[in-house]
Amino acid sequence: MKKKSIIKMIVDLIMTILLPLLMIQALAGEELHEWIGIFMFLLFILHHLLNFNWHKNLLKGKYSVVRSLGTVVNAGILLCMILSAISGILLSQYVFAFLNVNQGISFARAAHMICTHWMFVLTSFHLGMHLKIMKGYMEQARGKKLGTVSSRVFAILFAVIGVYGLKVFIDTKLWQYMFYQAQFMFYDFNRMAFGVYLDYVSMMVLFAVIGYFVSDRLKKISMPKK
Amino acid sequence: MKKIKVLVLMLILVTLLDGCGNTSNEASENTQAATTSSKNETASEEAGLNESEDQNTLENAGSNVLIAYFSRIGNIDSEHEIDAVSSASVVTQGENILGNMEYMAELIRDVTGGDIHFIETSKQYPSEYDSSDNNELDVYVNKENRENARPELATHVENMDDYDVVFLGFPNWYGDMPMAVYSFLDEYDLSGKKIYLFNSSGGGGPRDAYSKTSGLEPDAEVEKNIFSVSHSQVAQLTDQDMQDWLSEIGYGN
Repeated sequence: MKKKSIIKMIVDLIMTILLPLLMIQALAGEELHEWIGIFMFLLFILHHLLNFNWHKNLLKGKYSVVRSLGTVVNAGILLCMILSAISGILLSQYVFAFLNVNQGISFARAAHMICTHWMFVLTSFHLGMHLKIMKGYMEQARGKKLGTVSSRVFAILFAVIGVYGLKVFIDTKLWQYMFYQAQFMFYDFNRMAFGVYLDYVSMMVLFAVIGYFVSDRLKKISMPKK
Repeated sequence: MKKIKVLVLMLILVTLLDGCGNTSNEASENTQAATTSSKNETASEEAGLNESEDQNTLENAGSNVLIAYFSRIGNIDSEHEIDAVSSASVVTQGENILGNMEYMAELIRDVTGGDIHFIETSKQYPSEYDSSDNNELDVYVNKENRENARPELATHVENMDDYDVVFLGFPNWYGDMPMAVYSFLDEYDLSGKKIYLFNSSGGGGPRDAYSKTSGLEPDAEVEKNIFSVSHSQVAQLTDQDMQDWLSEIGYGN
């Protein structure tokens, strides 16, 4: 497997593991949350550099529906990431506390809550759109293709986890945070952090599954004969 | 209800006096006097009323229950008026304004009897506060929180040993218990007592108040089930809500 591919895979994998950890913020430790956030931002920049071809080809070629969707989703993620980083710095209680920010904290709170939740949903959707690439990483690493039975097992597994993710989405009323219906995030500190982490993983699966199906359908619409 | 009306009348008096140009120190002294005299009133009232009542109520009536609470209302410098309409921190009863935590404390007293203790800081907090804006109080509290400060308390419980049960109430300040509550927990050794927490928030809930309180009072029995509501819901609370909570956690068993 090519070196660049390995690095890409590792970067993507780490981001996937860290994202739900960021979402559970207070349960994982507030200072740790800040350090992971900074690290995630750096990985994000690295991800862009590793996929520089995407930037190079941005203005080239035809834009099918699915490519347009992908570009919009990516733009959304970029915007959310930048706003999350800035608001995160303003709100910082540990790493950037020396800045002694006194202005714009309420705005930063709202921005951070809204943008991080949208980023969570959009990146999961993005993952789903590129699921075949993730599959490709796995196959390259193992040296053989994924069999039909294994594919089906994975599909069922993701479907089941996705349904649980939908339940969590409804129970936590996550849309409240996305649309600023709630001002502050609620965490149940009586629960184990790892349990809540898995809840967020299941929501990632939910939106990844949606992303996969949407992009799959859209591709088929563009190329009906193939 | 009569106890509440007396306390509220005292508060109105104090607010009026304060408006007439008293210094903030005098105002807080008056508040303290009001609390103490209403406590005495309560005890004598209870003694008179409960003669023919249930043995259980009498046993719990005021003797060993402390209801301590920290509140923004009562700890601010009153430079800005408490606007009942826009503030989510208060409960309006007719023309009277009660802080959320105070209201909840009184509901608990209705159900359990007990002495109410208002946790007051020596230094007052900025009154410029709007729950939706960046403002003076926000900035001040943020700083206190970062420094893990222990603001000096102006009120003290003289006979903490007499209490077996402590209800402790506080709003969520910067995702944590207000630093004054830490001062309170530092000051008293609540070993051997049962601690029940009650809380109001803007949606964030009590966060890790349970583990923080348990950590500071390792030999006390802290109840995990915290009575926590959103600040916008406090005004709708009734004695029944407190009764339900206490039944749920097996209070008095």
